[in-house]
Amino acid sequence: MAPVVFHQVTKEFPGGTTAVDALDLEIPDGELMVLVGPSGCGKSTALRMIAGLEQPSSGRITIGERDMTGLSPGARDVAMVFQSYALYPHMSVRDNLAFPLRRRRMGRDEIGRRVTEMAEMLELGELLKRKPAQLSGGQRQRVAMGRALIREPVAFLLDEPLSNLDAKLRTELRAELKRLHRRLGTTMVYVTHDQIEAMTLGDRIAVMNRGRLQQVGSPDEIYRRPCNLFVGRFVGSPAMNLLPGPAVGRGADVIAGVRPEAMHRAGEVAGGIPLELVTDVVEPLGSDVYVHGSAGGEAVVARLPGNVQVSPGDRLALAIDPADLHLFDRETEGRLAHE
Amino acid sequence: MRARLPFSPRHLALVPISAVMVLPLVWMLVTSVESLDQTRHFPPTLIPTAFHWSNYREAWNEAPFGRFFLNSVIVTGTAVLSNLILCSLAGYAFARLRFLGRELLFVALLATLMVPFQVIMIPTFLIVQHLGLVDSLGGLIAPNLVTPFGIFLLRQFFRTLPVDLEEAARIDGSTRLGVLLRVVLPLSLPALATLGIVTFLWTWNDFLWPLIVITSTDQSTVQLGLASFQGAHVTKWNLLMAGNVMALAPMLVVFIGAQRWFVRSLATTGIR
Repeated sequence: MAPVVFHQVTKEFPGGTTAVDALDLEIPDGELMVLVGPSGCGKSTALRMIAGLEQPSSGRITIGERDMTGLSPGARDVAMVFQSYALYPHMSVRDNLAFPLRRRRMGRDEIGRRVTEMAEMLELGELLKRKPAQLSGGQRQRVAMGRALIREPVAFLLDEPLSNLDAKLRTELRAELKRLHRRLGTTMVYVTHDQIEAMTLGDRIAVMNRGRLQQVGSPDEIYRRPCNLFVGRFVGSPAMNLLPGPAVGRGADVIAGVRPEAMHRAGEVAGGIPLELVTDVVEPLGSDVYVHGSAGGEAVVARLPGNVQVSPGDRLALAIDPADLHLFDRETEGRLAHE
Repeated sequence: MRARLPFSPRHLALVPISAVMVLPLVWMLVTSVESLDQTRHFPPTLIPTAFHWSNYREAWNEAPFGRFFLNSVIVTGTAVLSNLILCSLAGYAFARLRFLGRELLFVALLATLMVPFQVIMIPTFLIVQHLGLVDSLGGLIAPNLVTPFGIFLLRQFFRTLPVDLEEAARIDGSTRLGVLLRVVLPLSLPALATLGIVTFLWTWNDFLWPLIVITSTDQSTVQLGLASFQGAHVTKWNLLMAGNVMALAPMLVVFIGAQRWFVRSLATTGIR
């Protein structure tokens, strides 16, 4: 177990793309850190640099106290779960689990003991003799986790490990992963493009965009105080609505972000900023209803209680609590303090 | 009616073509059991009336065939083995390692594929002579230790394997060589089988190069030995064909045994 630290790490690929730009990030010992961002934001490259599969163009990465620069992947004592699981197709589940231990010249008895233990923990006992092709998606995922966990690495890297699973299994395994992390207390770095996964899993979240770190913080911080327009739009589903300043009684140099759930029917909020929503599409979800439409000249989604009756074409009188406004500078897109 | 056939009726067009392909083989087999007189009969008999199995014994005894076979097996076996090892190493480097000038080197390698053997025959001979390998099995083996085709074939195949597997193995503690041995090669058996067979066929059937390099009988290969049945004035066709059948047998065994792999591999490599 060890902290993972990026010191001013930059990665440029031949051809001039800068995948990661001067990344400073400290992942304390035992933390589950989620790197999240749209595809091509550099999160996977950052992860691959921890693993040693890519070398930084400049800057250093340390794991524990050790500088990892130039070390081969095998010498770093980290384990990784791939999106494709990367199970060795020609080996049985048992051999897949034993593979990292054999490469470390562990004794035969010790290997046998650990494989049995791991199989028990991940409920793989009956599958040990099977080949990966004979397993279901969820089982493969478990084997991939097992192969990473079995050698008790100092840090555990996960590259979109759940994205090949169906929605139900994904939710189950997400919870399982969280339990696992609590039980093992190993440093984990988890890469995903799915902000819901990031919010539900992470102790802290690092949001990246175009190679640059945008914001690091607890899921709550990221959600409640996004540091710029990008983070505000990226986190939360449906996405934050953006309105021109004048529509909510602010200056023209301001963009106002409003979460869909911060839109209430007029009269429910004392001293609320009024807003008229022309309804276009209504999506009832049972507990809630998503009302799509336009307000202040922008496309807007409001999340209202499920018992609200709305039809397309209706004009809804809404109100926003001024405290729920996220104000961003139109030029810099950075967050503005409430005046 | 069409549904009764286990294949498309269009494939029936292949029947006459396969007949044409098979005819020379049948003729060879028939001739190999005929007497010398029968072989000169016109029109040729395709259904033999008497079987002169002694042709095989005679052919075997006429020349030191045992020696020829041994030589061919040594040369072919070494070439197959060394091609599998060296082409794997070079193919992997070209497929996965990043090094300066990789693409340029690879293009140069491919370019050598386009040079016919007749063009480099004499320079190759001079090199072999310089190495002191003329008229020895070493002279037959050395130029065939590694082939550009083999490197190309394996590189193309290795590139189709998921990189994730290799990266996983490296994180799990394998060296590059370990990745090649434990992950890449076990997954490349079809391509390795193809390369093995192709090398076997090429080396086993090679006639021109042994003809140039080998002068003494005890260094001859099977193909050279067969040529000795063809005299300037008289050719003992029945003995020649009996020798041919014997020379063909190992190839047939290898080919039939590995055909399944062979076809699958060519279908899955980048060569389309």
